[in-house]
Amino acid sequence: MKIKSNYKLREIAGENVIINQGITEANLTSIISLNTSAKLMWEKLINQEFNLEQAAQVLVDTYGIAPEQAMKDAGNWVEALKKCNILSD
Amino acid sequence: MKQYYNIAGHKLSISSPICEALKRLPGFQPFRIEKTDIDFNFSEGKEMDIPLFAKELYTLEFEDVKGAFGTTTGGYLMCLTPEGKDCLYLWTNITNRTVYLYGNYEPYLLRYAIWVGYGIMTVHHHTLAIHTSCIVYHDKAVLFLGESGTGKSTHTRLWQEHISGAVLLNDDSPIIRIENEKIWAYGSPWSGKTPCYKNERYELQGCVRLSQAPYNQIQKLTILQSIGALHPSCAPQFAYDENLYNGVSHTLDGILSAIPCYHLACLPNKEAALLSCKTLFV
Repeated sequence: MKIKSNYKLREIAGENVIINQGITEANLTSIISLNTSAKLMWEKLINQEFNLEQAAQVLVDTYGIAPEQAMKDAGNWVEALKKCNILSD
Repeated sequence: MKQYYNIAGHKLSISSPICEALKRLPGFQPFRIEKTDIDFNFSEGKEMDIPLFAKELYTLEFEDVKGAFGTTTGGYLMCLTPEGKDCLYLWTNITNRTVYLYGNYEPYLLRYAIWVGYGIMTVHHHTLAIHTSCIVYHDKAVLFLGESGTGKSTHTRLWQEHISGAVLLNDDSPIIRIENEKIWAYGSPWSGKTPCYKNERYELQGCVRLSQAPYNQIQKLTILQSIGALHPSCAPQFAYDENLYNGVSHTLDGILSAIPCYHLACLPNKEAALLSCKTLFV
């Protein structure tokens, strides 16, 4: 999977937000807020193909958490982004 | 011939024949200044120089006009096409700080095109046109936000009727600027259906997003909610380009780091105006 290129992470007044950029057909704006670890995963995984294991590895490397926990957390992150239509397969 | 203007502290010139066509737009008159050094200018381009879209980003519609906005190899291009009439083209050249116009200079096309051109040339200078009705009270400005038809103009009219000293600064598109860490609301030549073109500025006190309700209730918004309130009130075409939106988000960052935003669910009555006034000016 991959983060779609029309989504950009920006910091506005202390919030890490993703604002949908460049879908002419849909005039709806979605603004998504990321916490620190979700932001870290975004920054490590942007502009590349990745799978769930690689996403989990980011958490293992940074926070030293157990692989099982990392898989679970990374799974939640992927699900949340998928729900917002931010990830392509 | 050229005419010079100072709009929200940005100095610009508008050349013939565009400045003659502007005489039919009374909003620009209060912003005229003597000849001066300028930050950017509007000139008539040549038909043969109209660039092609590198990427069409956004389509727009207003009145009988269909428009397209996008990037070129070195800037931006917008075409406004009124039904059955000639187009107005606008394109930018950042290198020589010029916005070129060519084609149909009917006032309603020109007014919008200059708003977009001004926005492109100032977006990286902590400057943002926000679609809002703006009131001044105790020498401070308040922005009322909301989609068309939510009652922004109605609410600012209620302030003027019921709150002594409340005056309208602009009814459609004041210019917000960050200067020396202060947030200023400037009057502008763009004020929608209300002819209110004031060359004045006031420090921004707060923003209030309005929605209609069968009661009056106000609450302070979180930063995330405030972004959600302000973002849709900025020029929509700028949200589709990374470079332009970098400027927009930088200014939003400055505004929301300093200014509170509220949501007012309200009836169109005196109590609603008193409630938002009391909340903003405690």
